[in-house]
Amino acid sequence: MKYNIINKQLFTNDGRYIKTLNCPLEKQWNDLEEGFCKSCSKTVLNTSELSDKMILDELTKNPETCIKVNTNRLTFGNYDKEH
Amino acid sequence: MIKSIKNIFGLKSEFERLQWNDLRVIRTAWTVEDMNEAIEMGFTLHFVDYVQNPKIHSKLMLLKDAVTGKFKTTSDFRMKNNGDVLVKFYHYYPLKTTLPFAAYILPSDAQAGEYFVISHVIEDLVEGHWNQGDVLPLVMCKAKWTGDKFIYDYDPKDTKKTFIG
Repeated sequence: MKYNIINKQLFTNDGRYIKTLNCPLEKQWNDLEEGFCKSCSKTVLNTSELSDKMILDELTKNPETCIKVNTNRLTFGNYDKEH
Repeated sequence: MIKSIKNIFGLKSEFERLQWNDLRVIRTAWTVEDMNEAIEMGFTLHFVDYVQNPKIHSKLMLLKDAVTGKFKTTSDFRMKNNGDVLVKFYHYYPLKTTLPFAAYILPSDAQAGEYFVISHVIEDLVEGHWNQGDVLPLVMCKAKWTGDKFIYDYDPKDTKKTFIG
């Protein structure tokens, strides 16, 4: 996946926009209890075992889903969904 | 996770048992001039390749301070209201040196098995992730000198490695 650390936008490897990773509470994975966020009362989806397409499909169906993405699968750059 | 489990049982690693102030400090020569100076002073050099880690990122903004009128840089989004923004935030690679190598400055009596403090690690190892997006390199750590290399007190599994949102 591609990630822009400035605007926090996440894309598939072929450039399709997935989500803006911008937790307003600045949660980290260790803040959650087995992936459950008590502040928002919802489970954060661990994407470690999911393909880009599976993540995109899930976010398309449920745009409010929060996700966790491991940085070791990310390529960083100036990606922007407006361009 | 492993460190957390060890903490529960009161177990300490070989490095955790050492006090920072009890260890000699190893400095780093980033330039040829630094290296020549170290040799002239009787130190020896241990060369290490410097390879950029594409996971390391920093960001920077140039401000004109509202109070002093002086230019200053900041990497913190929260500072953007502290003056006139002259250059907006952009991200960049924080180069340590323009050379493809650097060298640790070793005391001539360094013994294999001795523990030191490395004051500025040469390799770009990820120490952690700031919630503003920066990926921060490891700077200082304890290390064990084996006689031909340093073993760092560093576990990449202990860094923050995820983005949430």
